[in-house]
Amino acid sequence: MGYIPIKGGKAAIEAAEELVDYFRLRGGSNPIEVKQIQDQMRLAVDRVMGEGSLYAPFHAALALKQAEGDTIEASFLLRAYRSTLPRIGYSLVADTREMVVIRRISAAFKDIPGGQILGPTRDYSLRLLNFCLAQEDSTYVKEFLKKFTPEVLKARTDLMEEVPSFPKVVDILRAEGLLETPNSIEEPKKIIDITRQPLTFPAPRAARLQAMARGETGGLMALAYSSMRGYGNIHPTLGELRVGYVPLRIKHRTRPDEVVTVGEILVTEAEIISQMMNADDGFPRFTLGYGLCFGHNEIKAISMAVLDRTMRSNSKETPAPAEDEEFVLYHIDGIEASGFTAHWKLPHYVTFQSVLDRLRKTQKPGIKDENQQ
Amino acid sequence: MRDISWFDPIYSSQRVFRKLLDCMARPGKVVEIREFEASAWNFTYVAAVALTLMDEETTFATLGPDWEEFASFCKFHTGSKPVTAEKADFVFINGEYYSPELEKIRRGNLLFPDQGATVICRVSSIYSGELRSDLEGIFLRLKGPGILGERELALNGLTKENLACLKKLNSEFPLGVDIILVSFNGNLACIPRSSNIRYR
Amino acid sequence: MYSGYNFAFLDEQSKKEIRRRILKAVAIPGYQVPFVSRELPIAQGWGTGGLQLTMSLIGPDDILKVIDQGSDDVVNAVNIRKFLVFTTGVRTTEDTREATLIQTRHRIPEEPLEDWQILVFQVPYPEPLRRVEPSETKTREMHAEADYSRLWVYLYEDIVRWGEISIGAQYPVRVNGRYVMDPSPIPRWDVPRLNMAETLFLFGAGREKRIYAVPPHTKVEPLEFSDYHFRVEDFTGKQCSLCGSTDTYLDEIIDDTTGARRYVCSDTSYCAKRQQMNEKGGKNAQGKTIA
Repeated sequence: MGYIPIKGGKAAIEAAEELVDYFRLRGGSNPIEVKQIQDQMRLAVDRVMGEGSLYAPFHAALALKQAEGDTIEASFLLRAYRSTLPRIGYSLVADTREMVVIRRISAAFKDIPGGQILGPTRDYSLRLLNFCLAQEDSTYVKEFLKKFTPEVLKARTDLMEEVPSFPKVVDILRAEGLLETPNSIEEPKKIIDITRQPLTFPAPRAARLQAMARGETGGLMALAYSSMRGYGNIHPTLGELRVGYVPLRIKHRTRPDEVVTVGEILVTEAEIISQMMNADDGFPRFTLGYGLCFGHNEIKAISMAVLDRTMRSNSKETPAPAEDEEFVLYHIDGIEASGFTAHWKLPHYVTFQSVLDRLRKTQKPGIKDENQQ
Repeated sequence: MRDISWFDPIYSSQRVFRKLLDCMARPGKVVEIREFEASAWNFTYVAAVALTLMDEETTFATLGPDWEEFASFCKFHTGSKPVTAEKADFVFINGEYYSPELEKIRRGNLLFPDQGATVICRVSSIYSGELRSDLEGIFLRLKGPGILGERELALNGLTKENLACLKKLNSEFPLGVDIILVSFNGNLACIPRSSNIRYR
Repeated sequence: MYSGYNFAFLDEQSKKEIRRRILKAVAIPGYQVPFVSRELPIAQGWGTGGLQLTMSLIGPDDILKVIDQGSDDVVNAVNIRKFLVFTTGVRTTEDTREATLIQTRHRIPEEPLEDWQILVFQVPYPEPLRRVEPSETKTREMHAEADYSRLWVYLYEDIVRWGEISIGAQYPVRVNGRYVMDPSPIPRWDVPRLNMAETLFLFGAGREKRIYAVPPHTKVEPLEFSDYHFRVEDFTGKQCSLCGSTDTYLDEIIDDTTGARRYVCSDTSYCAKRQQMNEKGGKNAQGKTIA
């Protein structure tokens, strides 16, 4: 019996839900543990946290399990969950200069104070499918950790003695007067929260960055790519990319002079340096594009940084899509975009009937079909 | 500080809101809230409206005397911030007392007319139909969206000065303010900016 | 709350924000009030705007009806109704005359509504000017200045090209002589029902984040020219194969086996009532007496 939108809706929905479970389990393999996803699919988890706009690795991993690996569906689950959580307060401004860095590179300079730290990256590996992974077993894992962990611990002890500092590349450029200083960039006294106040245009920079921070990686990448390829005029250089743990602090509830560290989050931060512009003081300087997102997601952070810069371009005559802030901000939210894309599957027969009526009326006998000649 | 145990944040809110909506959709219609009689405070019903609509995302101003206790109550229990009249989302006035600051309250702008303020006006009584001859008051005739033909509304405790000022604020639709009238004993009526007001 | 969630799912602060916006929308008929849409367990584009309105309105004593394409039984209506009942425990009905709160997608029920009822519309595209202008900044300016010239040109060009205004559903209307509004993708059949009605109509677009309203007894006029009038759908010669109706909006069904066309009422609960009346009166759908 096919899907009949007229009757039996409730039963059909229930059956569909059961079928989803069946498709997930019918292989008969061992149920995936949420911890396995957290541990071994960390990049998917990080992506879902970013797009779900909630830093909660266990919940993101659970969502991925429930969504059978569909990251947009998982982000949707996480956003909906986020909606149910009460808002307790706001953290103090986090400074990424305090970041405990696991990866930190710059394309602008060959070497930088603190050094280029590659960290865990596949950037320089050859993309060859590794069939050995199909045979990985717990014995192998134990042996690998037995061998590698002491090296990690030794490195950690070495660092304790001499904690390296990683001054920001942008700070170095600013000190030389080459990069616009914070004063010349808009700084709203009270930062807008796009989940609490409606977005209106022109949008403040904080609103643009927030929208992108929860934006869908692929969407952001496509738009940033369009700019890099030529639908735009930015010519970016990656000043610095850093990945690491940033502490979050709040004011104590009842003793407001006290500051409490409540934990740390893993973030990816990208700063791109872009073409010269006349700063407020009339002096030409480089401009900055900034991107920051939850977890380890370099494509997203870099795309954000490029789009941060392109949206400030303010070309009045026919802006390129990436320079049109309305175009960018309205189309990068994965939950909105996927929801609407999917909604075409809902019954539209009443509106279609209305349109049929119009077409039949216009196909009056007097109007010839072009093909009938 | 008075407590708010008499007001249920879920259910009282919802009931009061439905009444406000009914009144705003049908300007001049008089609706009663009676569920808070237990509290013996002259500001009870204004407080109920405030608790229903206001929170930390909103700002308010009170015009004229006698509002001090209410203003602290409002700030404490809703988290709404007290600001000047020109900035406030919600403006509280006593119908009997005219404050020239009323002329400066927000009317919104053409791009965002919804930014116009909401005026919550405390009066002594609200009822439909003719004025009772023994009481000082204003008799209004309202026309416009939400009203079939015309609706008559009688108010005691609202000065002509206040009404004239409000009318002037609403003289350039869609700019304007939206008025919630609350009587001491819990009668409600609303006059949105879309209404045409004639009075005597 | 037995479901584990707040009454009607939304937290009270979200409800307050939406309630404030609803009041402003009612005060400025036809104007789209921006609001911050909350994410719900139902996808955006699937009725979250209408749902947030309903969640902010509903109380334990309400009687709820949810329809999609005019039917209570279509999967999406079932899903939304299930969610609302789960988080409120309210009574539901399929009878339009019983419901205090009706949430609808793309149709207005056939039976006239009264002043104690509220109709909440799910809206995909709140902006009627979007068909002539993609930019929100520009369309907001057009509304500010009541400059609808480009929309009139669009309609004019339609007539030149097709001999008719070709807009099917989602026909633009002028509210209270001021704002042009998108009535949501209801068929033209339903547009006249918005004019000078007894009921309050509320419109919610979740993904686009807009709320707007048409109060009762408000003028709602479809845009038309003096020589090219607004026309509703034409069902001449057609009737519902279940109840015989010739004065309701009909859905066209392609028969499974024969490929022939037949028609049924889009408003399924009204159709069911008429079928019951026919049976009582001993008549079939064609009006012929049954033994």
